[in-house]
Amino acid sequence: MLDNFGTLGIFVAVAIVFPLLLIGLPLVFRYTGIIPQHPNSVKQDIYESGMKPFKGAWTQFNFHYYTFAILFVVMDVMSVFLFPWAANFIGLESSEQIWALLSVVVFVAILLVGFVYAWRKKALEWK
Amino acid sequence: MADYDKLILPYSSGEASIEEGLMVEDLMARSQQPIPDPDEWISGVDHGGVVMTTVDALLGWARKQSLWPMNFGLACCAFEMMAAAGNRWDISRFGMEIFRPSPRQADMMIIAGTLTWKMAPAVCRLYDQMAEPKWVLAMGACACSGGTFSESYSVVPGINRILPVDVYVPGCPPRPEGLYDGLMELHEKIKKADTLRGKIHMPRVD
Repeated sequence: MLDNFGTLGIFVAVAIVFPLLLIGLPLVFRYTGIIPQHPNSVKQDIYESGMKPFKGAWTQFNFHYYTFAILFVVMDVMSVFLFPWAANFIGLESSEQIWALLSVVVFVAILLVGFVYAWRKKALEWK
Repeated sequence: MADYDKLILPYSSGEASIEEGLMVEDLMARSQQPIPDPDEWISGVDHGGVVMTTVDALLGWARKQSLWPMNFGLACCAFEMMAAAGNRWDISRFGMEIFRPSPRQADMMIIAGTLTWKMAPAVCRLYDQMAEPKWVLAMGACACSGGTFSESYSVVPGINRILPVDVYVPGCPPRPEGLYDGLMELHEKIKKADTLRGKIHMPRVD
């Protein structure tokens, strides 16, 4: 039984040697000069599709849309959960229908708390 | 609209045009003579050792099989280049299926088509931003010599005016087979490169 673990040993050896080789070979090539290194100001400049950049790339972007996107995703996932529930609701017996309705009301209520919070925080207003 | 223009550009668009025109005229004045095709890094002699020669051959083989072209089409020849990248003339058979969108990751530039003087500074800049070692393939009659437009005021008469060209592929446009023939010639050239002794140095053109 123990000799079955021999393949595992080979696997471990390869798992250690292969990444080290991948990291080490470029370093060897770099320091032996096989990879040419001739940095200049144009090469280290910002890539702007060949145009000359007139500004740095470290600028602020407006991320306001992100709150809308998050709220939309929450609503989207909610509808994904509600659709199979609504499709199967008719087929249930009347005693099961009450439990099904209750559980969905609780589910929607939990999400509604989040929506009301976002609404009170004025997340839906575009500034 | 005027406010928006000011927000994006630190200068007006008229000033930008003047600066660009000066850049183009400067490049035209500097590139009146063709740059000789680079061949000094091709080794004609063997290293005199089995180990060195083997390592050199291995490195050359690895280099030739992993050429990554720059995703960069100028004119109608670019359509033949796209066809070459598509599934009928599958370019990945040559280890170069990934057309890189950034020059930092590319080591080969296919100049596919007519190059105008207005575009030339951008091409020079892209060539300079590519990782070394880098190779240039002139595809089509316009890139080789200016082609039909060789006497035009606006077209670069052969891209060897601004870049050191390794392989010329004639044709108007060349079929994907023609492009592959040029690629295989380039492979032969890369295989002969003296990787260990003669350090490959690609000049800055811009």
